[in-house]
Amino acid sequence: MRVLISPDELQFSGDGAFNMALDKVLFEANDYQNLPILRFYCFDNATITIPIRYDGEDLCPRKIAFDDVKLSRRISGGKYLLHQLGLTYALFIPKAHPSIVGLGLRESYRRLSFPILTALKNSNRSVNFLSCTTGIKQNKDCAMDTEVESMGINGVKFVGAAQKRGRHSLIQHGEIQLISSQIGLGHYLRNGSAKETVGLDTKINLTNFKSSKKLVCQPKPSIEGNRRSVYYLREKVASDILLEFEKVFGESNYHQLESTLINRAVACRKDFDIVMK
Amino acid sequence: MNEKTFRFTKDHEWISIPEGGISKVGISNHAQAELGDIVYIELPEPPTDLTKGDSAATVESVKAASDVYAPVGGIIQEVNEDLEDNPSILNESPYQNGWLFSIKVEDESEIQDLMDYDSYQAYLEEL
Repeated sequence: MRVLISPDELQFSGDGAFNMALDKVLFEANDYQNLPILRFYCFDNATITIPIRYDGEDLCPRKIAFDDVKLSRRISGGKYLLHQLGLTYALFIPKAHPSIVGLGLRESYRRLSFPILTALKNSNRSVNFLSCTTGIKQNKDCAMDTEVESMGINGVKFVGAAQKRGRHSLIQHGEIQLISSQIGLGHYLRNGSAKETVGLDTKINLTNFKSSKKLVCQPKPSIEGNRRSVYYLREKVASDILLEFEKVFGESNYHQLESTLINRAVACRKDFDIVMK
Repeated sequence: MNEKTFRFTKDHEWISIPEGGISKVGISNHAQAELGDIVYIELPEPPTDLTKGDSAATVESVKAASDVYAPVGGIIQEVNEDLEDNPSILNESPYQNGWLFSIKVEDESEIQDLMDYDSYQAYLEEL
């Protein structure tokens, strides 16, 4: 398996539109690769990603402007998703890879999500897959809609994923909310309300955690306690996920993101950056 | 339309035999069954000019957006607007009411290069 590492000086590293553009660039560039490719990233600003099905008309411009929430289009399906204090992964995998070949869509989601579940259980034993509520079509909030890959604690979702499928490969990118928040996506929907969201756990002891490799390109830990915890929590969860994916896909080879791909993503970033009027 | 007269791609698109140079395009019964409940379809704007193999439409199910590729080159003439309000038509009737778009075929020999119905069934058995 290849693990993509972003250079520390990467401009836009925590920018939603850039990361969505980079996922598209990597998806297209790797359609003929034989090996699974994994990368981790995060969002510096609270960002709502807009799936292919929606155009953003359900979102409230006033609240979004007031809280300086960013909007970005994404290439995958699913519903509106608010990214805040989370960890995002993108897994690029050939459709003919032995781990998923012959599996239906739902089964492939579940298979690719198992390593994530096992990794998250390292941090909190209560995390589990949730039962599906896909029948509730009118709900436009990803956090309120559960599919086969959705995970949570006590029935409340905080891990979800979406796929884009090409001719030879697919990307599954997913979000793990690490810290609970008093404001969920519902607050930013025209007809929604502020509903609390849950995160993995804020009380994990990170004192002895040392990552062998910096996996997530994110701002350096500040002296402020909460932010420092989030920084290390991201690295810990990313390390745990990587270890579980290695059990399925084999040992990791680290590759620095190529500058040509970064430049391509910068060039098409504007196509993913949504500005509400 | 009779699917036994259609031609098929390895990516599971079908194309009808052209009438007046225009063919309809859709995805096969196998493809819709693999996708499951289809919730959204993004169709091209006529008169988009496509080359064989270009991404022509997107079909979403189970939070997965899947590309549909142009089986031949040509210019999009019309799209099936019924699918915008009711994408499940594609699940119910992939070869009739669930067609995606019609295309003015640039080179009809490209259709002859595709699999006929029996060859496609044999291809499915190998998968």
